[in-house]
Formats: sequence, C-alpha cells, structure tokens
Amino acid sequence: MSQREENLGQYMARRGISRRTFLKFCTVMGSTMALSPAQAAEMAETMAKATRQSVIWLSFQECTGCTESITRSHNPTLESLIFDFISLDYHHTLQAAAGDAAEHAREEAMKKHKGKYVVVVDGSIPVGENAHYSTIAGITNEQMLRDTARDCFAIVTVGTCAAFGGIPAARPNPTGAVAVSDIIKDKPIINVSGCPPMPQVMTGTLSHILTFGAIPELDHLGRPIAFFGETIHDRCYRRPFYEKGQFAKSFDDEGARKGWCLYEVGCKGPTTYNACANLKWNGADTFPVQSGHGCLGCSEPNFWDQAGGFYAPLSVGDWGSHEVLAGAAVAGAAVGAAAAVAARSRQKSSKEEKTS
Amino acid sequence: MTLLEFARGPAMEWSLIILVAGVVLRFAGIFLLTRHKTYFRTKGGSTLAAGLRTIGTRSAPTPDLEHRVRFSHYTGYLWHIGLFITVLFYTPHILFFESILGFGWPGLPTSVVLAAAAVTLAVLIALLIRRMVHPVLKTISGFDDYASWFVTTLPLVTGLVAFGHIGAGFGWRYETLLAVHILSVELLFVYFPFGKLFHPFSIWFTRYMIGGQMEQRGVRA
Amino acid sequence: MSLSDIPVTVEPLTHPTGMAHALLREIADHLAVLDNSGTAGAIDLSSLPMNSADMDELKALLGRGEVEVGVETVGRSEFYETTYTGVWWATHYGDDGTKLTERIEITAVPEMIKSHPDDIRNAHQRLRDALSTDDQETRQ
Repeated sequence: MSQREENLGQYMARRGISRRTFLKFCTVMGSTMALSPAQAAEMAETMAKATRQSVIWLSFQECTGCTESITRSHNPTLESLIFDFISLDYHHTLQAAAGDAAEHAREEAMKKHKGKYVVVVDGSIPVGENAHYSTIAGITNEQMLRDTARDCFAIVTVGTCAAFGGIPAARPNPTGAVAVSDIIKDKPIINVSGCPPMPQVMTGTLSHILTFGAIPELDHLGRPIAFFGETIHDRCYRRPFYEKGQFAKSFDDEGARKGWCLYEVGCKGPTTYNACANLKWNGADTFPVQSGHGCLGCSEPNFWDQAGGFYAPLSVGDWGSHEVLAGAAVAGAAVGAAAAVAARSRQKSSKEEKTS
Repeated sequence: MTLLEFARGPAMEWSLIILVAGVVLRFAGIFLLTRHKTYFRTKGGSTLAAGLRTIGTRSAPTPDLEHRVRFSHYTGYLWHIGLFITVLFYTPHILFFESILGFGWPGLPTSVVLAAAAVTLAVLIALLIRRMVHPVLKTISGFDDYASWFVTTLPLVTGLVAFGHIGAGFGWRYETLLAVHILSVELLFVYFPFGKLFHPFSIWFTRYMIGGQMEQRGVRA
Repeated sequence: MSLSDIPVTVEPLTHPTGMAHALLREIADHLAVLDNSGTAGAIDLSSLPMNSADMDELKALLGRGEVEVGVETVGRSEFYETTYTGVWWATHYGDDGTKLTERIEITAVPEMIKSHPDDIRNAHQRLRDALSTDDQETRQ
C-alpha cells in the first residue's frame, strides 16, 4: 500500500505514534473546542479511519508569526501533532523540498486530492497592478492563490493579515494588500484571525475540518464561533474591577499593581472577539491583560488603524485636534457676527420705519 | 468602516466641530444684537451686583408661585443632578473630557453612577408622560421640547443598554451597542446649540441681563 | 523586583458553590446507563464553572479506590478509580507539566488505558520481527 493511500491509523502505526497519544490529542482538542466527550471519542475514531487530509499552506505577505505560534506553542509536542495528522504537502518554512521540487509537490497534491484538499493561507496579498510586490517562484501571490484555490475544499486564513489585510494593509497600505476573501469569492473561507492567532484555535479549527469534514459555524466575519463567539471582556478575570470602576491610570501605577482594569490605558477587550481570556497563551498560562497590558484588538479588522491608536480608551476616539476646533469657533463667530449684523440692520430699519 | 470606527472617528470629529461652531455662533449672535435703551433710571444699586444676584436667585422659583411649580422644580433638579453625576463622574466619560480639555478629575464608583442614571431615566420618562398628558403642557409643547427630550434621553438609554450588554441573549453585539451610544451622544452635540438645549450656556447671561435691566427700573427680579 | 513580588492576585471563591453535588447526580445518571447498557460516558470538568473548593469537594465525595494508572505519552496522564467502581478521575498533563484537561469517565476501563487493536497488531508484527532476528543470531 502506498504511503499516500494509508489511513491516519496506519500512518501513526508506521511512525510509532501510539493510539493512546492520538486519543490524548483528541481528548484535549475536544475539550478546547467544547465538544462533548462522546464527540471527542468519535473524533478519534473518524480521523484514524480517514486518509490524512492534504493541506497546502500558502505564505504570502506575512511575518511567519502564525507558523511560529502554531509550532512554538508551549506544548509543542501536543498541538504540533496536528502536523502528523495532516499531510502538509506544501509549506515554505517547514517543508524539506525547495525550488521547483516544492512547486511540483504542490501541483501534484492539488491534482491528486482535487476537491478535497484544504488551503491554509497566512499573509495578505497585493493585487492588480501591485501584484508584483510579492511573488514566489516568479508567480504573483494573487495568481498562486487563484490557481491553488480553484479545486480546494475550503480555505483557512490564518492570522489577521490573510483574514482582514492586517499590517501590510494598514495605512497607507503601500502594496495595495487585501484579504483572501477580497479575492476568492466562490469557496468557503474560515477566518482564524489574530496577530498571531492562538495555537489552540488554529489546531482546533483544523481538527474540526479533519474530524467532521465540514466547516464549523462561523460569525459574520467568517471566524469560528467556538473560539470567536465571546469578547475578551466577557471572560476577563479583571471584570469585577471594571464593574466597580477601579482602573489603572497608567502602567505600573498603584492600580496597575493591584491588578485593576486596564480600560484607561486603552484595553480593547470589550470590542475584541477571541479566546485569549479563557484558553490563554504560553501553555494556558497568561494573556496580555493578565500580564498588565491592554488588549490590542488584534483579531479584529483594521486594528492597526483604530481611532486614537492602541492607548486611547474606547470612550475616546479620534476627535480631531484643538486647532480644528479653534477653526470651528472662528467660523462660528464669523457666521454669528454676520447674522447679528443682518439682524441689527433689520432692527434699525424697522425702528426707522416706526419713527418716520 | 464599521459603525464603531465611524462613531469614534469622523462622527466624533464632525459633531464636535458643529458643537463648537454652533455655540460660538449663537453667542456671537446674541451678544451682538442691539439692546433696548432704558429710559428710566432709579437711584438703585449697581447693575452688576443685581445681575449677579439674579443668577443665583433664579435657581429657585419665586415664593409666590412656588406651590404651582413645585413638582417640575424638584423633579427638574433631580434629573439634572442625576445626569451630571452620570455624565461627569463616570470614569470612561471623564477620559473623553480629559482627552479634549487636557485635565480630568476623580470618578465615582460605577454603582453610584448606575443608580443615578437609573433614577434620571425614570424621572425623564415620567416627565415626558406628564408633558404629553397635562392640558397646558401638551398645548404649549412644540418640536423643540420633544426633540430636546429625545436627544437627552437617548444617550442615557443607549449607555445603560451598552454597559449592561442588554440583548446579548438575542445576538446584540457589544460593539454595535457602544457605537449606537457614542452616536447618540454625537447627535446630542449636533442638536445642542440650536434650540432650548442651549440653556446651560445662555441662562447665566440671560439671568444677568434681566437682573441688571430690572434693577435699572427699580424692580427686583 | 521579580514577577513573583507583584501582588496581583485574583481572590478565588473559597466556598463550594454546590456544583460538586450537582455533578454527583449527573455521575449517578451516567453510572445507571453504564450499569444497564454498558455504554460509557464522560464529563469534561475543564469546561465547567468549578472553583478549587468545588473540585476539592467533588474529590472528597468520590474518594479514591483501588486502582491508579499513569500513562506517559506527550506528557503524563493520570487515572484513578474512585470509591465508586466504574467512576474514574482522569487528569491530562502536557510535556511541561501544565494541566491540559480534567475529566470524569464512567466506564469499565478508560479508553486510553486499554491497548488498542491496531497497536496490538503492530506489536505482534514487531515481536515476530524481533524473534526472527533473534533466531537468525542464535543459529550463527
């Protein structure tokens, strides 16, 4: 039996990954995805009997932070096991092949698993007359995306760049970068946003597709509701301080040392959807607020360009400048004076009429 | 651009421009109008002293008529004070003022602000009903009265709904509620200079002028 | 000043909330199903709003039974049967010792302890191969 036709169970047997290891992975993943224990067991059985899912990972205008997040997780052996359970047929950083051989592997996988392979994309894409700003093997990112997406089952955009444009698309967007969903309109797209996204979220989403062969339930921005259904604020352990009105006024002041709410130093937790506050980072250890810095809102579109920047509280936006308001006052004075002059001349003329 | 980005960006900028321009515009208009010459002068006291005194005394109804206006007098103070507590002593609001003025002030515990806001809203609703039902009030009330009530009450309602994330159960998203609250405040800013709502700025000057003028006629106002 | 000197603490609720008793009833229902039909069940404790007092209370109510199993794979997983036969407490740790998830399994033997048929087949093959190499060496 060729290696490509063996199912996951056989692959694991060949690689010496015990069923117990696999069951542990499914149990932990199932817990993260809030599956019932019965569903987690079903996940294990279904995945083991299936052939390994072919995944083509396209990296465009990105910083590789998303790959770092998924491979550099604190439990690298458990979450990065996902790379054993999928057949990662193309990935710039992780693949052994290079050059023509790598591109050939990609094309072969696309042909062999037509209609069934999953495309993972990180990084944003410059388009149109700017497409040449990012190329691989002489092919523009835009062309590679269109070609690779043509026969795929689904696209998973990993990171805010691929999901919404991210940092390349931030003002002034010199390369004209756009999100995957701005280019591909006819394939299901799952946006796993975040800068970077949480490793559990990336792995959990891929696991969902592997297990159920279907797209998970998505919100209006295409993000899996299992991980992006709640705001940071809704699960934040500092919420009692917010409710009471106890805020840190600046970094490392007395309130900050007492662990008070970070609203005043610009925390965007209330309007940011992600799983940071409950699943947590660095091996379920902490997340930005717990470490003393407000949420940046990195899983939301345009977070780099948000009004007022990272440190303006939500109640303060971009209200302009004192100069503009002074100008408004001058304009108001001018109009008011003009109205008064008109009124006065009317007053005078009507008085003259009466007395004459 | 999302609704929240719009509310915290262009809408905030333009509503403040209109607010500032409108306030200055109205002041300029009022101050530059001619005033009637007075033909009688008594040996009475100084106009300045009388004017300043009237600013204070007009804060209470005249004793002869107090019993007739007692209800609106006390409820009026109640909801004005409640509104000041809500607007000026809730920390996220203080941060907004601080960003414009350059200075802030201490806030009150959120529970106090919530209580004040709830009382204010209840009184405002009661007063609206009274305005619509009372035979005299409903006859003399016009668009400006109802509009002023609306642009004042809407931020209160939307603020409470946003704070409590009311509607989460049927899918209302917090960022939308927050955007609606900020936009309702911006609506207030835009309407503020152009009708009866301008009174927080104008009453001090009006009271002064009336006090001074009446003093010149030998009458205490 | 080191990180541990920063006095940021979250006051945990130190009183049990009653969750432990509610869970005991759910465990009883699962045990009834296991008794009648042999169908196993599980409860994921990580996803429940239990504070440490609740966990301690539940552990005390269930007690420890006769069996304790440790599984070493990608970190340690610990199982013990409670004083109620068929009710097991499972804790899964990662490679670095962080607790990943905690479950109550109502079953004759938790799935992860059992030897899977595929692994047995694999082991059979390996042992056969090892024996044939052994034979060859003995003959030489």
